[in-house]
Amino acid sequence: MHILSKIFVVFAAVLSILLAGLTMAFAVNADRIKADYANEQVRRQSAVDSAASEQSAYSAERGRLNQQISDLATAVAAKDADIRELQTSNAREIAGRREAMAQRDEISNKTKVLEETARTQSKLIDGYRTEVTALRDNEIQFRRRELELEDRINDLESRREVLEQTLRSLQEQLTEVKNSLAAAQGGVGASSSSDSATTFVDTGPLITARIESIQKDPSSGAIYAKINAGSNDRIRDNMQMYIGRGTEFIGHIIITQTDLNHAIGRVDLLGRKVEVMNGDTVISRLR
Amino acid sequence: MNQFGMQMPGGKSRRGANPDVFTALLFLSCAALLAACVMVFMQGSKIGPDGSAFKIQEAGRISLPK
Repeated sequence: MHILSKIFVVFAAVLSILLAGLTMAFAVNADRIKADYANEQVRRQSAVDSAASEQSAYSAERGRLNQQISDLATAVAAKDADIRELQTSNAREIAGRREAMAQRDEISNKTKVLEETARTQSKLIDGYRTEVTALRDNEIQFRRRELELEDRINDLESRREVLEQTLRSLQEQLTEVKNSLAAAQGGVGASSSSDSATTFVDTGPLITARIESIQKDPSSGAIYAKINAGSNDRIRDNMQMYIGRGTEFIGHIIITQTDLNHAIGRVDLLGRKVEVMNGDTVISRLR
Repeated sequence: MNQFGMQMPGGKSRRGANPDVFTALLFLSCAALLAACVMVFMQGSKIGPDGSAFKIQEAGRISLPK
């Protein structure tokens, strides 16, 4: 055998041993890796199943959470709307508050002005009251003095009327005396009527009155009228006055009876066909 | 009779052996074994623990080189 053959035989033996060891180790390792791979496959499958179940649970949870998020979003939108509404209401309330404050200030200013006005008016009223009190006192004193004067005037008027009556009676007595003297001197046939002797026309201040009632004496046919003026208005018996209606002259009235505020007189129409009426004017003398 | 290794009397003296076809076959087998060892070593290094082709993986605790 050639030396190379021998060497190759030795090499082949050594390489065969080495290859056998390597092959055994490789085979064992491959087998274990395969077993472990199978286990890993099983584990992976279980993990996949678990992941799928977890995924489904997660999906359900996600759906539930999405629904909850949607509900919360709706609630948030509603709350936002409420917030906007409340903000609008708040702004409106703030504006109303400002307006109310402005009105309050305005009212306060008006109140101050009114207080000042009331104070001023109170002062004026006090002044007026003092003045009115003084005026009332003066008026009372004036009234009292007026009453005293009226009493004095009435007394003087009564005394004057008494004196006039006395004067009239004295004049009548004087007339009667004169008539008696005339009768004694020339006889009785020249005597005239007493009416024409005592009738007179007042020459003092103008007296104006009105006829209140008219009455006719059935026995004599004379007309008597009542006027609304008496002795207080200087009306005296036998005073001749003039009756008129507007600018029309009606006739005479001879006063026959005098009262304080009324007088009665006989109407003389002077033969004219006129008629005396209530309300006709009676004056003391012609103007 | 030389071809049977027999030396006949009066024959020439015997010479050294020459490489023959068996030597070539052994060479080829050695080359094939060497190639197989290299390949198995390389692949075993890939699946062996700590990159060693001769170590054995522990069951349930497989560790492969990175």
